[in-house]
Amino acid sequence: MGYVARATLNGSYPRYPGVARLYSRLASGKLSEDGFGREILKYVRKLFTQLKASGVEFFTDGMFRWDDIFNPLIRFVRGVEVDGLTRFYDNNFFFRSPVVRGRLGLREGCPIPTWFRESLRVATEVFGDGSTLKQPLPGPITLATNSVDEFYRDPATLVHEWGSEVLEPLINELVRAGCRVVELHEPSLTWGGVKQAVLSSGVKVLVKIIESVKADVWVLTYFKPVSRFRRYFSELSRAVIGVDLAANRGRGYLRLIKECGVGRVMLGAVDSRNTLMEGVKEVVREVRAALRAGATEVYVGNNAPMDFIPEVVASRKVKLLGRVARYLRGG
Amino acid sequence: MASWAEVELPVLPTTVIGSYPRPKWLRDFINRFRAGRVSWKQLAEAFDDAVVAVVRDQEVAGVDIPSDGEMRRDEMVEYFAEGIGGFKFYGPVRVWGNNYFRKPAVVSRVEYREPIVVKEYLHLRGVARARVVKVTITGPYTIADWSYNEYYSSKEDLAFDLAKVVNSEIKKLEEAGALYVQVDEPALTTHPEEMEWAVEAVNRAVEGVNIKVGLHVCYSNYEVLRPYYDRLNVSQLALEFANRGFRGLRVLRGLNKELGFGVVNVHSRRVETPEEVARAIGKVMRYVRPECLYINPDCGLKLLPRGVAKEKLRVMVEGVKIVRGRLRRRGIEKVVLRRGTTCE
Ligand SMILES: [Zn+2]
Repeated sequence: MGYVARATLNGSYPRYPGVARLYSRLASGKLSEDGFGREILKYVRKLFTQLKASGVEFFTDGMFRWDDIFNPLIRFVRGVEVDGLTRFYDNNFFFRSPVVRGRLGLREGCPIPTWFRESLRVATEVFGDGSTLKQPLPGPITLATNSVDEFYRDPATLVHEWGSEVLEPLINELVRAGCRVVELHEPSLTWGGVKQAVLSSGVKVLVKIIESVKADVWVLTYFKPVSRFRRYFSELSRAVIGVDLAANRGRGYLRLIKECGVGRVMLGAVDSRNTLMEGVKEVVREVRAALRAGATEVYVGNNAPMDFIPEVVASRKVKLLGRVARYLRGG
Repeated sequence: MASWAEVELPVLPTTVIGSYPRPKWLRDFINRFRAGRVSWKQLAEAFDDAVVAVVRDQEVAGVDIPSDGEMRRDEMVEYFAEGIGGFKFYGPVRVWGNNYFRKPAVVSRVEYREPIVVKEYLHLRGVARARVVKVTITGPYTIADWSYNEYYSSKEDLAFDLAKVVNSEIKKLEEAGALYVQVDEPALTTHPEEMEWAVEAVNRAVEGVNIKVGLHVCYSNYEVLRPYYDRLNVSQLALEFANRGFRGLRVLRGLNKELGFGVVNVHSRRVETPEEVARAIGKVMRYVRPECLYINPDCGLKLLPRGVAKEKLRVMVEGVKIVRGRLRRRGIEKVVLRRGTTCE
């Protein structure tokens, strides 16, 4: 019998203390950029080994080279200056925001595809063939709404340019580096307060990415209920749609499956904003509800980046995801 | 203890928000303590000595109302969670870049066990020359918002239990003779839909308190705060404005209490000039009467190098002196330490 639901790690995993030390050594000049790159792969391997033992077969490399969903990507984008610290939605977590001061374009030599290739090699060594390494990226709507636009001065153009000038070329390079699945993080899609015109253009940009790139695209929403924005999801029904279950307690999200043609879902069933542990049965019930509603492909994962909880807790939550997948397989 | 009527301050009293850079030797000493090479008793003595040093920095700079620089506190939520019962620490959590804090988890009912900062206050009063000193306490909403909730059925229930704890602590400070307490609520406006009860939680924390209480809110959308000016039962709002280039001062229209005006940016190492400070104060006086103004940095100074922090305070005081000169010609020289919740 095939999989009923697969366990997935989405976005970032908390930095191990050793990774934090690498950053300190890099900052104080005790470690070179190259040395840092080599050392970080040891922790990527540590994470993959942990994921394999837990039974998680869809995953990212933990984004140990990233400070947040935007950095360092925005440093490799022409027309962008990196600004001061901004709060990441309603979290006590801050990122450096992009200030758009010129025409956007992906710079030559953006190292993200190379990093992907390196992590993929480690994944193959640890897992053999039966696993999928995903590349997380910020989605166009989230990029546009978190940018300070001093150039286009038009949000619809801005969202379009982030998509066509930065994300599409980058994803194409990632595909050449062996990437088969891209996660587009789109908390802004359901956050509220974004103008309807911007959302509509943003969704068109997403559709174009989904249709044109040679990778499977996941669109991950988090922090907010999705049902209010459900009309946008019919257009995105080819993608895997991520739903934050902690923010969608009343199961209103099932309407995406029942009414909008969404069949492929990533249930953000473990809460990366709380240390409280979920129960296996409680997550299993959510998976079954999605299947009953008509979902054709179900993943269970963390609802949002894992940076918001300590590593020890993240590790327990990852194990729980593996247990859920095993339970559903009857194992 | 001095009676209230007697407590007078120069107009535009200068103060700090709370934290101040730890001296290098103290940081080294803390590392040695963590490595088990010095005792807790020795570390406690080092903290006391560090307070003497940083209070002196503030006095030399000319600050009217010093704090103890929060020398003992690694982080503003962590410190109080450690002192209050009901919390557990799992490990560090990243806040930005490679910066972490130990975010606490609430695992049982929060309880007031014993005074947390009263000893700090008594030590500060003993070493400071100033008659009025400031003691800071992290507010109930921010502690609730920056903790994991594993126990309460809602964040609101947690915040109100924390408000009782904070209230007990402020009353202990009052009993010990403190004249001025500042409640820090940097998270207050982050969930606008929670403002109604968040403001009530702050009010619950200051209920029945008869000393001066300020409220510090920073890096926030003050438009969210604005509708609650009236309802907040505190005598002062200490807000950050240098970081935003003194834009959006219009939000102060309708403010019916004292303003603690942030005039130096704590996230930039560039030291402002006295003229810039004086200009900013001139600008804010279009919205707030000088008798209702205190002058302070935007926020705690702890992330700056100590030399820069000290220089920023000196420049802040110099800028204030320029404005005081003008006010003296209008006959405005003194203000009283106000406890009431209005100043119009
Ligand atoms: Zn502050």
